[in-house]
Amino acid sequence: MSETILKLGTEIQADVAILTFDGEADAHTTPILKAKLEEVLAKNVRYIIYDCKGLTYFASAAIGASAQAHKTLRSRQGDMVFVNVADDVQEMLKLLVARQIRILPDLPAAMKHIK
Amino acid sequence: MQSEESHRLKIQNDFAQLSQVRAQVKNFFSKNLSSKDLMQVIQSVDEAVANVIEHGYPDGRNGNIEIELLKFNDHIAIVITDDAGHFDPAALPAVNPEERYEQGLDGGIGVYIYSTFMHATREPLAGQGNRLKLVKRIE
Repeated sequence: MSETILKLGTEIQADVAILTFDGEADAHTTPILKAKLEEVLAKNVRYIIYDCKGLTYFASAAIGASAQAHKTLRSRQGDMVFVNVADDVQEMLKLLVARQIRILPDLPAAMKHIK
Repeated sequence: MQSEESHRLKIQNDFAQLSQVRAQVKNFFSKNLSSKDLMQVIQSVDEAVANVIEHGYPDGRNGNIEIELLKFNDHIAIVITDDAGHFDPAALPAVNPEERYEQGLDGGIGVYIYSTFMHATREPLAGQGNRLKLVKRIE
């Protein structure tokens, strides 16, 4: 059987980290996301933008990993923003954590929100 | 009730196999469900199987999980049978995903997801093992 694949690109601009998703974030690949989040949080960023253009699946395990990171960002007066989210993923996120996360259309909108 | 069509897959307790499970669920039900319902079914099965893998074998032994996909005239069903220790999610406290997220807590919402998206019933098997049945009406 084939394995889930998740690739995560990172770009840091001042105190903003942009994580670019390519693949599926499930219970198998969430450790990759957790490690990446720990890496960027160690650089004292205050904002993390998830660019979900290549994200095809987001399991509860990935929501849990994001919750931990988001709490750290809030303690730094920062935030986490999701952009380019596919309809399926967006619907699931809104059902579970609509009041907790901010979903914006694209990267320019996210950068404008942060500024 | 006799199903009109069925498909059975067997996996071991390995997270690496979840992607293939989702792919087979998608392929089997894609002509019977709306895209919204299909997404909910895929997510439900993924969360249910991931829960078994994560919590069912604390002793680290190899486990076997069988997933049966069934089509009926007016609904679809998925039966997940494992050989893990007995597990009763009804004994767990109710979960509020918004509160858990706000508190930065990891885990605990898989049961909430599949119970919200589908009608779920569970029964312990004699000796060890559990059978979880997930049902969704075809709109």
